[in-house]
Amino acid sequence: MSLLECKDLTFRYGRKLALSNQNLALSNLNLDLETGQIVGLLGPNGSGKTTLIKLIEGLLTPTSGQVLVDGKKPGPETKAMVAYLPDRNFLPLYFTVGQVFDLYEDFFADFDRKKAKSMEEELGITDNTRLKSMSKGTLEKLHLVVTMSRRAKIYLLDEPIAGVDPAARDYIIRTIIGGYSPDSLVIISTHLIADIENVLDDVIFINKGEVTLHGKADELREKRGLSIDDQFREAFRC
Amino acid sequence: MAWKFNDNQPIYRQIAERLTRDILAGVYKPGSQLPSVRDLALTAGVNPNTMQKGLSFAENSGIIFSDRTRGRFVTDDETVIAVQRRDMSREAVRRFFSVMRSFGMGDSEIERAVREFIDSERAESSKQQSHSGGSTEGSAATAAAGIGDANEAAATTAKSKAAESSAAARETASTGATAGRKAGLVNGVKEA
Repeated sequence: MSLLECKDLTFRYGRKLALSNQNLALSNLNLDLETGQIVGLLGPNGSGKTTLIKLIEGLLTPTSGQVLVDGKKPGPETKAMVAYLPDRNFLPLYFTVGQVFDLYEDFFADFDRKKAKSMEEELGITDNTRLKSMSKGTLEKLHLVVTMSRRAKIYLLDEPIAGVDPAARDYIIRTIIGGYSPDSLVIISTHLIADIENVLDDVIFINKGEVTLHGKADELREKRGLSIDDQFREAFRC
Repeated sequence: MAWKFNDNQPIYRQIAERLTRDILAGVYKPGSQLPSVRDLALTAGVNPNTMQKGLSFAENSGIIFSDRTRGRFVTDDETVIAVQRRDMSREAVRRFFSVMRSFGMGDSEIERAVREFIDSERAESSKQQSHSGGSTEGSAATAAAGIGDANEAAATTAKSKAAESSAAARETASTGATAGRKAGLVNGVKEA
């Protein structure tokens, strides 16, 4: 049984007008992902990446079809094993770092506070640093640190490196590699492919709510003699 | 810093090549234990599964081997290492010729260019030696020495070249080394 399964998954925003294709974010999407992989969910803006992630996280309910996390429908049980990193800041800026750790400890039994705290020095912060005094890059790194400090089965990282300087990007990528475990699945949704492609096992191209490509990164390189970034540019040429 | 890869080709093969090169360069000594897959993946900036695949691929040549209980090791079989060195150097020579020929050079021109390069490097290092022998002056003294000493240095170079195997000297003379004062000196010394 796969860790993540999507069967004919369809999602439409707004009122459910049976014959309308408006706001059709996902259309009969099928996906099967195993543990021990780092998967890239690659697609242009508006292709349905975030919608898919929200469906896996249980923030949205399918219009039709199914999403199964470890064989179960998204709910409190699956949320306890899925660590979600949204693409926008989701923490109160008046919080301190210590308060963020408190919050995570309260909500998630699998949060490893020691691990998160051990990364403070690298980030140049302390428990007393207030979020609103942090640079965007440092805040992004903090987001990733608290997310990866959870011992989850699935990590959903929505645009973890967008809008962040190259050194911070390196740090984030190293943290992702360091967090790898054969028992977990990491899904990275991004359109910044060149930076991240060396870290991916599986590559999924998604366009207009459908999966247009799903394969192993090195196999795709061998087959086409092109980087994943080049293959993406080719597939989604405007 | 992460390893640089050509993303147009499978990464796992490039990993095996990079590890082989690092072993040949002495980064990992023969018989020594390699870092863990996780550590190597972090160093290289790649997915641990890809690193694992790269290591397995490198095992094919025998340059590294896996001891199931203790991890992966560099071979201490000098023959295996020599084979890798030979194979990689042949590939490098092939690429070198490809580039040089693209400049419109013929094979004897290329040979001459290689000789010139080796000779000029030797002249540089013996120039420094003859000026800093016994003292701590170093290359600053060499620079200050002036043109007169450059002739002395060239003569020293010519002497050390004559001390090389006579086959090499014969080869240089036979490629018709009419270009350059150094070549002339070699011929002069040889005749003397």
